[in-house]
Amino acid sequence: MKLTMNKILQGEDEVIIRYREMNEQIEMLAALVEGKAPRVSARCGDETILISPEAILYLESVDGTTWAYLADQVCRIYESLEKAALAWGERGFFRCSKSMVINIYRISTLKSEPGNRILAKMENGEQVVISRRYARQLRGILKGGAEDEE
Amino acid sequence: MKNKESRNGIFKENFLRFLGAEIWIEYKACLYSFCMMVFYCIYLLCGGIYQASILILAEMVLAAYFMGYVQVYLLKNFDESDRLGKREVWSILLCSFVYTLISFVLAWFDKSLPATGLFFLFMLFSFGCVCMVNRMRRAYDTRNLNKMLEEFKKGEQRYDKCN
Repeated sequence: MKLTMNKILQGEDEVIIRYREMNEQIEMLAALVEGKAPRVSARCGDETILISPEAILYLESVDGTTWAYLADQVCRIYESLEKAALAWGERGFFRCSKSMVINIYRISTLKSEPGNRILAKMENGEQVVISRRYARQLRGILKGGAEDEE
Repeated sequence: MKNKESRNGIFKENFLRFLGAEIWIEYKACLYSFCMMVFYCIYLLCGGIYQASILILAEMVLAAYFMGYVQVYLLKNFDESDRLGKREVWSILLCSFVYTLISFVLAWFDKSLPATGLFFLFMLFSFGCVCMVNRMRRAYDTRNLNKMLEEFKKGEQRYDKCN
């Protein structure tokens, strides 16, 4: 799909989608623009709510259960880590260890650690250590290429 | 089947960890043996000697390997540490002392006390420099990483790729 972006100095932001045939990708794009992006069902305490993947800071798998860490609460989701990392990879979700997936857009700072590891400080202050193997992939993603990804 | 895969995974993980430690030891052995050789060559040049003993050079390399193992497995790779705390300072003193002791026992500097004392100070200086360089390298890397993160968040990378 060809992407054309024009910067305007005046007027409202506008997204025009020109398509030959409607497909899943176009539908997703349209939903994203309309603010109807896919949401995920999550169990937060006693209630089940729908949350946007963008609201998730990171996911952690504990004893086969996937937990989503939001800015102020922790909810249980029913997607596995593998599925989440795969489905939301384009939205900045990155597998940073066997049991964790982080949202790159919700990292506040990164710190280079001995042994080529990276320490990611999330927006909620939580610190996540990214091992050398995954750190190399993260560098590749940040550089904008997938050459270092597996 | 799953158990076998899990065992293979653990074995691979352990092997990679072992390999990582061995690479650190190799790196340290090269670095510190080179430092010792520099001092040894300066010592010889100051005495008007233009030939070095291969035996002493080999001893230096072996000593550096031995200390590499001590540094990585016993002293938690202290020269890669983020801050120069009490533990790091003691580790630097200990390693410099052991190197000096080896140099004296093996008569690298003809058991000359002033040269041995200078060697101790030189090793302290070398460890200090390595710690400082490592910290500077990581600080630069941190700055670079955060810059890349910022650009990624802005979407500049994706925009550049499209155009």
